[in-house]
Amino acid sequence: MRRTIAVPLASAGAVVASLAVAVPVQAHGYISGPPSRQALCAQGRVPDCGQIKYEPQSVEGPKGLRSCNAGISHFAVLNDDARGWPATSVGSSVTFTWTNTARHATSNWEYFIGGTRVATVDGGGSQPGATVSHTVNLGSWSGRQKLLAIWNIADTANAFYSCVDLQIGGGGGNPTPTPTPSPTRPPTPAPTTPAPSGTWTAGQAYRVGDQVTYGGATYRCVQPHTALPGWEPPNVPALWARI
Amino acid sequence: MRTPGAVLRIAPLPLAVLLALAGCAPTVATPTGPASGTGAPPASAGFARPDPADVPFLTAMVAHHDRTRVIAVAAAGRITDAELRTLVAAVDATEADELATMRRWLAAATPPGDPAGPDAHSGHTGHDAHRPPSPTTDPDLARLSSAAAERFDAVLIDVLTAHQGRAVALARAHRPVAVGPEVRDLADRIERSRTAQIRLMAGLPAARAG
Repeated sequence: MRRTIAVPLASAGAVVASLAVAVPVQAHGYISGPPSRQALCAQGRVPDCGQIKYEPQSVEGPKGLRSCNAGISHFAVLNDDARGWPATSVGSSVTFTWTNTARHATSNWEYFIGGTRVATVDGGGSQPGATVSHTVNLGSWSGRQKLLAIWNIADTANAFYSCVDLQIGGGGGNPTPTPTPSPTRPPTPAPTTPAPSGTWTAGQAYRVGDQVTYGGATYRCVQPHTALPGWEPPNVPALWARI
Repeated sequence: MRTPGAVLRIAPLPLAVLLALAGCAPTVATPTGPASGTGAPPASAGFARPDPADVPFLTAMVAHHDRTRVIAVAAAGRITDAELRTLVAAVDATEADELATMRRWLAAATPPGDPAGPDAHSGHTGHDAHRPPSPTTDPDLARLSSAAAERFDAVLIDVLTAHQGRAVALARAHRPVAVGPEVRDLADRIERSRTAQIRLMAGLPAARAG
């Protein structure tokens, strides 16, 4: 059969090609929930984002930056506050979930609002899982805020950057330390996308945030896709995060 | 930079692939212990080192996955059909994970310091990721880069169908002879998911129009 014969030749060609061509490094990580700006682009909820739509995990730059795009010009859309980024309504305590497509040893994770570091989580130099969740107390803040999350890698000079737009409400505590434009929307604890639930079904199209059960466990979709045989949730951490 | 030496260490692969396809995966004496090669599955969490008989398959699949990612980069921003775009992004994400897993296994299969280590080129190279691939050295990439916008989806479906078909053939050939249960599971998942991807692509409007 022609295909069978073609395989070794093509494989050899693939190897040669992978030497000749700059193979993309399998990058890396971003905040999938609440959806970061790159996640919103990847989901198509914010249109016309350009290249970032296809690689929300690639916002990588030197450590110490404070921008949403890690200084990468073709991801500049992420810095554009006028793009109508939908803000996720949250309470005073927010759990951020990172989806890591390459699990670099981690120095730490940092969370900033404005110039203020609101949380640091030590990574201990070890390798994180495919997903990492941190619960951060934002009780000092209210109204619409742009949060910058940074994943500092232990064994390179680089970090990964994710900006998340939040509508913070509910939590009391300290007065708001920065002027907030206008907290027009009432705080609602519900996530922005209602997550349909049910048993994982091949052939079903899933969006980020959708929840399914499979093998007695519950999973949340972290990458939009049509479910396929072989892509059962426990097998594809790139598509499903176990809850 | 790729060194000329890198070519030498990759060169034996096609033979290994041929053997694997012919169902003649090389039987290599394994000094590692009684569990190896006997079919006694090691505990899943303890899977640290693939059996040498599984290494050629894993090496071929690493090259194949690398290639998928090159195709995905070439397709970035050019896909018209939303379903195809979603599929390619999901394929890229899942294969990135599999690639990391297989490289970890292969690194464990190679003694530290072995210059033939399969992980030798997986180092972190910063923004090399964004260097454009070269259509001049690659017929598939040439087809993709020269395709007119309205034909791009059809060409991509053609290229990806052939490419994932090769993954199905590799996985189907290796699964019955796989030694490590994890490797057998991986081959099984690759065979099933790529078959489903091909079927999905065949049902898209661009495939019918092409």
